[in-house]
Amino acid sequence: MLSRVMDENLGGIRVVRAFAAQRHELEKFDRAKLSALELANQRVDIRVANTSAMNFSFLAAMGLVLWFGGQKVIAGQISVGTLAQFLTFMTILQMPVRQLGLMVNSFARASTCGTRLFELLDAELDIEDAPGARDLVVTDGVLRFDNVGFRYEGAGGRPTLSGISFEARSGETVGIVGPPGSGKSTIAHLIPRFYDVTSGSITIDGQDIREVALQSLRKAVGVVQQDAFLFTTSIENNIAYGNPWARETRIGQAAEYAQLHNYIIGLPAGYTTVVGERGASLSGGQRQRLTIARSLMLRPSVLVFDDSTAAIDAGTEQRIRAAMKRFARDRVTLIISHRLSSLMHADQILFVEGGRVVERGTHEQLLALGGRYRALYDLQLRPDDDRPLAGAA
Amino acid sequence: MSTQADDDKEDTSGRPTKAVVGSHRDEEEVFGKAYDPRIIRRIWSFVRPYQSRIFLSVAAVLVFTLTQLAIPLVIRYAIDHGMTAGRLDRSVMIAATGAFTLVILINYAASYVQESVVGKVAENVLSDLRRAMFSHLQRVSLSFMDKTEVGRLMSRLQGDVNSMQEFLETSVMSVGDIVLLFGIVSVLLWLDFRLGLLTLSTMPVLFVVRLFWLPRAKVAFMAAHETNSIANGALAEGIHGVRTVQSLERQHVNFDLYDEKVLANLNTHLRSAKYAQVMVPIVDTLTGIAMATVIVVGGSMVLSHSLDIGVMVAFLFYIQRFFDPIRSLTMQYSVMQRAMASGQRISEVLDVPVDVSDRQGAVALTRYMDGSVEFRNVTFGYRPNQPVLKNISFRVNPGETVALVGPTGSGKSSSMALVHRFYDVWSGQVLVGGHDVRDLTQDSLGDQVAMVLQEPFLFSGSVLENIRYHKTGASREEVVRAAKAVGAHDFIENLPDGYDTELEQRGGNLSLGQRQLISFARALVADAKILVLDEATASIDSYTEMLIQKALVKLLEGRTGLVIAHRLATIRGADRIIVLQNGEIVESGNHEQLMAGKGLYARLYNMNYASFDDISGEEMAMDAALGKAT
Repeated sequence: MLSRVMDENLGGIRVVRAFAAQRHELEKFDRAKLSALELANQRVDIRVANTSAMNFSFLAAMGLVLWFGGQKVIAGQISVGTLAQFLTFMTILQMPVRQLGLMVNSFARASTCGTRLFELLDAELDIEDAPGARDLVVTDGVLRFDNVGFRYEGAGGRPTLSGISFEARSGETVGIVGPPGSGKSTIAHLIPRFYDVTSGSITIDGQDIREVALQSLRKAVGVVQQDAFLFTTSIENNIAYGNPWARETRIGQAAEYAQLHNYIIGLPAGYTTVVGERGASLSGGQRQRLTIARSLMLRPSVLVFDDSTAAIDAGTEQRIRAAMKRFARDRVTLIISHRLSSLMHADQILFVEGGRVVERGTHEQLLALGGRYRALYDLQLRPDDDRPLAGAA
Repeated sequence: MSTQADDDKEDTSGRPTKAVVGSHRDEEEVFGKAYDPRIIRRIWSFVRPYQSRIFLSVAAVLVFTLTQLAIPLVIRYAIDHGMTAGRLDRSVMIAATGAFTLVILINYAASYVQESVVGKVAENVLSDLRRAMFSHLQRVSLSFMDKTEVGRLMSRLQGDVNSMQEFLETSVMSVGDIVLLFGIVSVLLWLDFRLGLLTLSTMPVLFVVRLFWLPRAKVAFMAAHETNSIANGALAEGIHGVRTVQSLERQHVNFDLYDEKVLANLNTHLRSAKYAQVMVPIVDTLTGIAMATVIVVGGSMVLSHSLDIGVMVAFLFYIQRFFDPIRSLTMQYSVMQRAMASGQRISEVLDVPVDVSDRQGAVALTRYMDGSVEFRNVTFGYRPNQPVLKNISFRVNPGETVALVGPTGSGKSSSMALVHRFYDVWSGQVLVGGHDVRDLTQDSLGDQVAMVLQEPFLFSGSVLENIRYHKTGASREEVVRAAKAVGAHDFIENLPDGYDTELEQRGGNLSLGQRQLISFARALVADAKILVLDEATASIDSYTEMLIQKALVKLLEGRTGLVIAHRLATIRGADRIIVLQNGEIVESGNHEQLMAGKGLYARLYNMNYASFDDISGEEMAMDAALGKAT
């Protein structure tokens, strides 16, 4: 609790300053501090009560030995030596008794931790290779969604996706657009089997993706994620993340396609510059371009852009697209975005809403249709300006 | 495509050349000097308020130690005066048992008082220390905060402060240890000088052994600590980036690399366990030797009647306790070193200068000022000789909205920070309501200038609390009115508990657009005369964006606005546009004027982007160069 107050405050220090809310923050801190202090004091009380009681009972036992032993010595039943022996043994006993107390403690802790540990180890892998799964063989590169439905586990109510069908072959681009929460990102997650479809099927060249070896599937499907995760290591290692044996020339090539090469060579340490959480900070657009380069290293047969160009300016995006055009020939490209300029050139555009495809066609067809797509298009136009957006060319 | 064919010949059987898991973080120094008077004084200033309680606990420790020393003496008295042949005496037995009972009761009370007082004082001191650091951090300049990772600060507020706890607790204990050590030595020598001397001869052996053991053990412990944090770091990375790892099929490579780190961790831990355990048999053997000495030598002395049996028993008792203080005192040395290193870091935080502070006689900015903002020949930067703003002058009249436009790094955000006096200018003046901001109290400036940041930062707490963050006295009605005004009411009502919905950390359960709207409502409730706003750049879906545009108009009504604009709609709606480039004003005027001027703005506008933010810095520079060429 206390640490959350501190963490939030320090992370949001600009807001705190912006609203001159230091006093308010200190009050919040003091409240958390007081309750933390109270707990800490309780802990001290419990601990001290325990250790002192333990010590006392041990000494009391020794006193009893002295008293009763002494009586017996006086009565001549035992010798002084026997009593001395007793007392010495008791001092030796002190250590093991204390240890035993500690052991009970650690046993209790171990059993709770152990339970959690084994829960994790026993967690079921819900996505596994089917028995006898064979490697995916890509020939024509035809990606097919056949009446796909999906519902997140535990999410009652309506399914996230239902009745999604489309087909795309090598060289084709499919654009998927829709309002937030429409399920368009879920489509991206189904292709590399981050989740399994609830109904219907997804096939690549006729092979159901649930029946091929997972490793071969994921090698064939590249997903450029929305939130680019960078590992704290060099740019070079980050680009080669999926293929750490790659040669420099290939890494450079991927960076060039992603329009990142020029930026990288301008850095003092070039490709060996460390990025990531504790490395040099890249802008949102640069991070996304790096993620694109990373996916290109795998030369996937299906390349999915999951809203992954949002932070890249339109001009650069256009150049990336142009650079990749040569290679788009041997792969299916899926572009998921809410920015129309990113996908209006696609061979086929699906407008998804509420988990269903409500409109489909090419940009021109959808404009002519005058439906949801058209409405979005009008909304994204400049106000009182009827020129189309950048990238229309 | 020949290069591609070449590349495919990559040999994937060997060790991957471009792969690592986890990253190496520089460990902060764990051990410092054992004694640094400056740091001791610093820490003492936090302990001083609890001085009397510390003295009480030291007294309790002394009493506790004395009772420890007394117990074997009572037993010795009972044996020698009540139980030896010819001196069987019941009354001595009763007296001895009474004395024993009394001693152990005092022992109990003293140990209770000492431990609980020290424990609580330590907790209080830690708490005070943490508060002092926290409240200091609220006042230090943002330039320090900008440079410092939050994680690092947190580790000082938590880890370093916690490691002082051990130090505080054990310091008091070591007083007892020293007394116990000298007490045992004196009592042994007093009971029987020759036997005492003989028994004590084992003690230097332990001292010497520990002297050699300690530095090596410390190295081993450090190594274990370090490999542990490396392995944990790699694990954390794997968990955070699991999506990426899976989608790029890196599991096998990562598994092998992680395996290496875990193995290294195992090895260092085995080594440090070896060091920890090696002391046990040594101490046991020495104890055994000392006991054997007492039994053989003391026993023959008893037989020759030159020693009482009770004395021998007391000797055996003392030998059992004998090595404890030596062990904890040598440990205390490392504890001190660790505490000094932590104390050093804590002092560093406390000593960060507060470089933006209220001037003596600073006046309060009142609501009745005119609400103008003016920059007069302002030059400012974060690093010496690298000005971010160069001789900037402009004025925003009361009620006017001015849009700042320019590529990343042109100085927009810095101008905004200066209005709020997050930093002080190098030269020139920033005036708010006609006053130099340096002549105003910071609190009053904060009251009159509301800021909305690009990345809206929400705190954990309810929506209601977040909206009235600045004006905690605002009524629920005021909050609802503000939310309605900015168009946030509808989605807030749809949250599970409406206005009382608890936000997750940083408002994680809301979309960026929703967070932005809440921060607008927050600014509206604050009701400041001047609004400084940094528009969100990240992509927001078109519908929310429309809401935001409407809210913005509402928010700026009757206020002076300085807006870092990214969206064309906002830019076009402004009374005046200031185009910044490399810290200088290149153009200013309204949309029509700037378009007619056919300058940089017009060219950028004609490049046909949906938002000015889409234009990268490189492109802008390129364009500027082209502009000059033509």
